[in-house]
Amino acid sequence: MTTETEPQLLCYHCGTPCDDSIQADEKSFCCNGCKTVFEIITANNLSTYYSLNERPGIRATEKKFGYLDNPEIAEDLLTFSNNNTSKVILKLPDIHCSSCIWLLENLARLLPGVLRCQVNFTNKEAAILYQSEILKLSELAGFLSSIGYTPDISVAQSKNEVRQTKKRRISQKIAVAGFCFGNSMLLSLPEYLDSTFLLNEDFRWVFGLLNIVLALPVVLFSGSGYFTAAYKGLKKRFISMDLPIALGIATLFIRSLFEIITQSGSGYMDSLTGLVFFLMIGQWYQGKTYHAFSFDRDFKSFFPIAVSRILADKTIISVPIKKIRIGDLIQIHNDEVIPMDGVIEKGVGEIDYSFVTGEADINLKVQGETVYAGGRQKGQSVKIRVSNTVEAGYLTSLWNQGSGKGNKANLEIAANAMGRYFTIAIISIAVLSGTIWFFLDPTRIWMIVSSILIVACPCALALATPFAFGQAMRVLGNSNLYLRNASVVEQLAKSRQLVFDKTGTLTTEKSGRTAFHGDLTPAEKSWVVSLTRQSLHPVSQSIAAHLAKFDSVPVSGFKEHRGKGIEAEVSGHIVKMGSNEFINSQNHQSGTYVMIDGINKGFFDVNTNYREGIFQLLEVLQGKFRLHLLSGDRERDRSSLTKYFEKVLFRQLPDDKLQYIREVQKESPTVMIGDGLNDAGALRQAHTGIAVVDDLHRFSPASDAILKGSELPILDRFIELCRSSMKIVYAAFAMSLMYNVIGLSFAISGNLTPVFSAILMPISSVSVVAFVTISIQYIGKKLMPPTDKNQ
Amino acid sequence: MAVIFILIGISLLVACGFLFAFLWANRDGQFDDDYSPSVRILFEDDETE
Repeated sequence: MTTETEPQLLCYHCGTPCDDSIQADEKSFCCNGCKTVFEIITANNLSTYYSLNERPGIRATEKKFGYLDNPEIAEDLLTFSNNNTSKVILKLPDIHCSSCIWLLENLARLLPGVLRCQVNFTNKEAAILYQSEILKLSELAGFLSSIGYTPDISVAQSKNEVRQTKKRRISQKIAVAGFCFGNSMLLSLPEYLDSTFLLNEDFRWVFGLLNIVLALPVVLFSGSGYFTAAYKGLKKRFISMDLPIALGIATLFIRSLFEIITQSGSGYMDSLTGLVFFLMIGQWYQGKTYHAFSFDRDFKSFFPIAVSRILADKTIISVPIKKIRIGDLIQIHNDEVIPMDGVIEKGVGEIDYSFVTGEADINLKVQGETVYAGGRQKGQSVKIRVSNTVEAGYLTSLWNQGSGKGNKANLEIAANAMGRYFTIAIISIAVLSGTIWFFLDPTRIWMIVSSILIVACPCALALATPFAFGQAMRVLGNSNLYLRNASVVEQLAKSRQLVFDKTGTLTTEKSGRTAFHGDLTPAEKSWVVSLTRQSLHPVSQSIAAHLAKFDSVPVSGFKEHRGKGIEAEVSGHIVKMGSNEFINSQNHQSGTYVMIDGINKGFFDVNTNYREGIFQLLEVLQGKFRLHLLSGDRERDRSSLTKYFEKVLFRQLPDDKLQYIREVQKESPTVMIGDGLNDAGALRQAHTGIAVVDDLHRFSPASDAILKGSELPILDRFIELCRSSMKIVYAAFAMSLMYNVIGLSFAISGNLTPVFSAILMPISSVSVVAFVTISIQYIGKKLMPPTDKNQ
Repeated sequence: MAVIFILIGISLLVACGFLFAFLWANRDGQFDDDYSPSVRILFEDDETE
């Protein structure tokens, strides 16, 4: 008996562990795909690819892109096209290192017809200019796929443009505010010095006017967001942090304008521009987004963008999904996703709904039965008569359930609550001091009240949250938890209940410790893998993954005996795999036995692959949170799981999960942690939805955060960091309130001078920001283990 | 001292020029990708054959 051990050899191209069976140029490869790519690259004198980084390749998977030649689809994708040259921007999620950039930018040397290729690493995109006469778009996409960079072609690509402009807009606002702030400070400085310094009264007038000119773009362009936000809030009878800021900016500007024009003072234009400048930096810091991830991916990106439609005269054409009408006949090939509900017209549907339901079983559907969108056909192609458009399908309605506007329960944001109390407090103080001064000296009321509004402008208060959460988001991102936006930090900090999905979340899809006990020749291994690839049972999949390097051979007469095993004829041999009862083994050890032509060859030992460290995590979380487990799969491992969870539910349909979340979140803030489309509704419904993925750039359902599967075991620390960040925000609130008390005491007593405000404002802002970022950085260092950043 | 008016005017004009240059570059997408250019410059221009 021998046990398979992993050889230490790594594929020269992609770094997957492999043996020395596939070789070229004295280098080993894990599969023929990698070898072919290596040969293409070296044949074109591009082997620098391998010298820039070690093992930079990606395991190639070939995909068909024939539908890209449909002019309507191409039109959506091409950014520019004339008679012979076209430009397309393709999303290539596999771009990950400098070698990738190098190879792709030398694409013209690999593929005739490509004129130029420019990579945008940040967005993982390549802009390719090519000659459409020589090269078809489908060939281009196919070639990229064959060298490992499979384009991610989805219908919703225009969104990126919007995001880009938004990102640019904030830098423009910072630039304008910073420019005006700097110049305004220079012009205001003489005011603050001894008055003899000013040789001439004209200076005062001219400098004042210049200050007005400089402040205008700051108020109208850089600070405009606060006015619109405050206005929108007021319209909805809601006071947020934006209102006191807008009030402060407006008062500062009007009062300064008044002082300069009447020549009664020098105004506060430098404080105003500085204030907006700091606020804009705060927004930029908070606004960090992970461009490479899609948090809003909708169900459509699951579906192919085109399907084969069979016309009345039996010709088959590729048609964009949105052009398919009810009653059309479409053909679904092996491994394709059914894009819309329909009735089987011809063929047998062996449909895997694991995508929708989370259950890993194949449903057999015969002629006349209804199939639903989202299922994946396994086996021969079937013809389906469409009975529902994409928009009206079952899956779509499922997806949309959690997404109704205002449906998603959001927790009150602390900064907004703070802003509300703050505004009320400031307005009452202003009214009160106004009344008092009415009796003391009515001529000074206007000055006192405006001073109060100016000094109370909650700059430091408003900066605490963006910097704290922005910093927390960066620390989490370094440990592979990517948040949709900074406010998720607060949602996570407040969470009290965690709801886990099982398959794919607590367990991994990859085989962890699959071992074979017995002897199999390489040929037999390829029979075994061919057989297991027919089945979707998790055990079969683990074995198939374990033997991934062996190529498939044709299989006939495949049969799956539910709960027992599988069998088929492979290359003329009868291969049976399953439990020991299934193959009548005398061996009593449990495992998946292999029988070839009636001879027992040994067994596979497959563990249900819980993620490493998952039980330690559950133990830690147990005392701090209420834990729930919802599994779409059938009941297994109940006994080992119940001790951790308050409730363990199996056979949960997507809708059940959603309803469950809706129920429990009435009690306290809830986090849903899941992975598949079957969790999509629940992820959206929960206060915070965390999607767990093994490959960060592949598909994940819409969620608030994306977590790399390998980091799930430190989930408790992630939440801990969020909670600490929250405490630091409160400390920063206290700090800025202290500054406000100081400022207010000057303002109420009528002693606020421009120079005082010009000093107090930056000091308060900078100290709050420094306190917040440094302390969160420190906590992050203490909590987070150093990980290699793999973005 | 009146010269200071001219100087301030000129310096503001120059500074505005830079601001404008930045805004232009920003709108054009110069700062959209902050990684690839840093790598691209290091690639050798090795010609084939």
